[in-house]
Amino acid sequence: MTATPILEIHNLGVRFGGLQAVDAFHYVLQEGDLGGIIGPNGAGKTTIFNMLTGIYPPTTGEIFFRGKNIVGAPIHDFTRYGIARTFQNIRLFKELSALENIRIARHMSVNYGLFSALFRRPSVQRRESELEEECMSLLDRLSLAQYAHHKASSLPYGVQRRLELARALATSPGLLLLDEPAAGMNPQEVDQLSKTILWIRDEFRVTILLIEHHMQLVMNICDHITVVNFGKLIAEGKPEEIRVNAAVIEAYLGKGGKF
Amino acid sequence: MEHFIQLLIFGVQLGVIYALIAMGYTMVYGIIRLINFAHGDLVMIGAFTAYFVARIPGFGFIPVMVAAMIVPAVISVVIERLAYRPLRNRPRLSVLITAIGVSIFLENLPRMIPVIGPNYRPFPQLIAFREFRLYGSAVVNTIQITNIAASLILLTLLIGIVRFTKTGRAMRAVSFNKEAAALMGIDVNRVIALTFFVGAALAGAGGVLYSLTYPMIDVLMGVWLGTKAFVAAVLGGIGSIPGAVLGGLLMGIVEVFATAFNSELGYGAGFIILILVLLFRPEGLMGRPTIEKV
Amino acid sequence: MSGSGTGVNIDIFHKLKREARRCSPLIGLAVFYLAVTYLREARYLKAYYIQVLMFGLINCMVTMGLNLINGVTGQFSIGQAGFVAVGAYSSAAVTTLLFRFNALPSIVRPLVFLLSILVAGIAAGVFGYLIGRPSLRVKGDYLAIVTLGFGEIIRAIIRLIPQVGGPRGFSGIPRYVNLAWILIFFALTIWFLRNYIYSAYGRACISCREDDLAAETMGINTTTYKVQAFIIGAVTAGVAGALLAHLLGYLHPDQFSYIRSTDFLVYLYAGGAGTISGAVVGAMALTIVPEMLRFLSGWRLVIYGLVLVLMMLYRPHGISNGKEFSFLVPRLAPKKTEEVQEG
Repeated sequence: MTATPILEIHNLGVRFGGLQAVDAFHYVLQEGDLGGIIGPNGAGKTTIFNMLTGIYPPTTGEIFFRGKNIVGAPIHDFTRYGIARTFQNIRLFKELSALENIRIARHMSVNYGLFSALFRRPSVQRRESELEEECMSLLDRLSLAQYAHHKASSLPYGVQRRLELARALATSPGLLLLDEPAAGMNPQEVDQLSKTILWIRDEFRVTILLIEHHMQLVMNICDHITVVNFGKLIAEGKPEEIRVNAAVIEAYLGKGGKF
Repeated sequence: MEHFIQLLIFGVQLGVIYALIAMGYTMVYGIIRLINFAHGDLVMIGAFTAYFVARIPGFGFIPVMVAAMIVPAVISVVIERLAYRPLRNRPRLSVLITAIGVSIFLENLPRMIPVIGPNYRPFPQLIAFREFRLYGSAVVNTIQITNIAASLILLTLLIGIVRFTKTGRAMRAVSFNKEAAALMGIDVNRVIALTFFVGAALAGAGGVLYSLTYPMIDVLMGVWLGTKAFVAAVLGGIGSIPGAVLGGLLMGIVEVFATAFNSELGYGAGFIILILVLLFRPEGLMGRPTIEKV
Repeated sequence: MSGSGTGVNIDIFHKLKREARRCSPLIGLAVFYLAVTYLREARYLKAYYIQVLMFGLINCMVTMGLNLINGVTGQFSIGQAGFVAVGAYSSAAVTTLLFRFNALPSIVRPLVFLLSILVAGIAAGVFGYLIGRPSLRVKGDYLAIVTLGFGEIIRAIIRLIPQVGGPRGFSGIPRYVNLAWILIFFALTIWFLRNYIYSAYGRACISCREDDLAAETMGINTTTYKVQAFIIGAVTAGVAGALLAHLLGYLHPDQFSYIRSTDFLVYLYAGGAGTISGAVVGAMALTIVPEMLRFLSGWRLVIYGLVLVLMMLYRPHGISNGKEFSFLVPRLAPKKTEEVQEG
């Protein structure tokens, strides 16, 4: 019961000039959970993600990943520790093929040295062949195999989102951060996405934390939900608790609103 | 002390010229994020225009100067229209390579035109030379006074236009956000063309003033002059108009002092300062840092 | 698996085919060398053409190095001539100042020459690190200016060293290099760079070019790869510089100005940045074609400028159009399953 949480955030805060974008944010996520952070536009959700992946250094507070404080580490180390993410505005390697995108994400699993690479020793060839198989199988699991040799930017929007998800999974993360995965999707696609996210959690045994505007998605799949506004935590709890929380309703709809 | 003042005068004299030329780099960069490699060659075109116009009887310093500003300005607008505008939505590198191509073209075409040719030519003396004693043995001459005065007038005029006129406001708007400016009804193409026009006019003026000081001109004069002015622009913070003035002055003064110290050092000194500034303040002395949005 | 006689034969046949495929570029190069040598001996080719060819190959090497920095890793360096200068001067210093090359017995000469190339590579690599490391604090256009500045500073420093001739130039360098030497190093450069680019290291460099933030979130230390690209690109240029020094026999700081650097840029982008083929085709074409157009004298540079502009307007991916010659893309080891099927 009292296992170390995979993610523990303490008093996290960041200032940009005069703006306190995130203030005294506390958060705990247990291994295997599916957490959601919601809040109106500009509430500081993406900023929290950016701190969780090392992109913005926080002004105050600590981030414990599997019990280790990782604040101050360079971005790539966050990934090495096991945190992967997708971006709100899809940041694939646009000019490269889907396969190449995944291959790059498998970079950390490459075990040959620079000199082996320069001389293209047999070990390099062997590893490269294995790598290709690993990547193809991952693409296959996410039903992307047919797009393996397509340029990422030429793929349909929904496929690009899925590819970005596959790319994040390729880093073998323990914690997967999804930044507005449903952005720009129609209701059927969102429905499909809900299933995919749950499937990914079970199939890849990852803990997932997502940011979303789409209330339905969050309410349906998240184990617990955290609501932020103006960089501050305003509510926390199970979906059914959040649904009736007065502070949340006010933040979203103003006073007197109703879901 | 006298020596110091004398060097300072030389430095400022050179610095204002760099500032004039740097202005074109900074304005073009500010508006379309392009390092206009061909800008230096407009300096040369200005100098050669002056060289020929000065032969017309009755044309003194001022008409020569006006001609030397208009010709490169028109050429610059034509270049923008033909070579840069079609590439505006392509990767910035394509435009940069195009600019290099334009620059190679501009340096070599005049060499092949018989009346210009590859040789050095003596620049006419447009200003009667006189020296005034300033302090001890430090002197200032009419050419230096002309250089500094003309540069100050032109720079003030430019800053006035950018700050206080409607056109200037449009320029600032376009450099801030092209799409939004277009939505506000600003003719972006016209503003960009105008920026090229103004920048090249100042470069032409810089070419004339430089040639007054070092009265031998050739078709490659713009290459080094352009490079140094460009360094000045970056030093001050490219995109910033006061930065170009500051960078130009600094570059001129440093170069003169370093050359006085060791003649081989003069050239490298500006670059050393540039690198130090960029490493510790990458946006330049007066530039604004850019924040990457994720 | 089947163990039948024909199966084994087919296996050997396939292996031979693979080996032949692997070696075909080398064989091609050897044939090329023999053909050129024969044509020269038979006086079909003037020494001048071979000279141009050698310059072309050296330019190819420098451009391939620049391609790694600019085309593959997406940095913007315009100081490549500075690295060539470091390599040229340091190797010339070894053969001219450290050893008296022409007084050496002829058996030792190749060794000393190779040593000078090694020194050139290391010296250029060190400069690549010194320039690459701090430069990465700045991005894009600013990086370009810093590399330009560093290139010019290298030139200014050379002018200050009287031992290598300072502003007068460095003369008396043994003219030891011939086409064979250049072809060997040209082939090695292609081989190493190909291996690098088509490995995880090269992919990491490509990811820096495509989106360095996304690359970081893939666990890639982008700084490491950018610096690595700078170093390898500089070493390549340095080795090419060493060859150049011993081809020309004379060096002058002004040969390595930033104008020379823009030449390499032009070769790269005209040929097609990002691929080895592009670098080679661009450098070769733009070295040879202007020489062939010598009868146009000064006009050829006018045309050169014009062609560059037209290229960018109408063929933005360069002559090679972003495609790699297939023999430059290493193949993966054949899968075991396939061998079973064949056997």
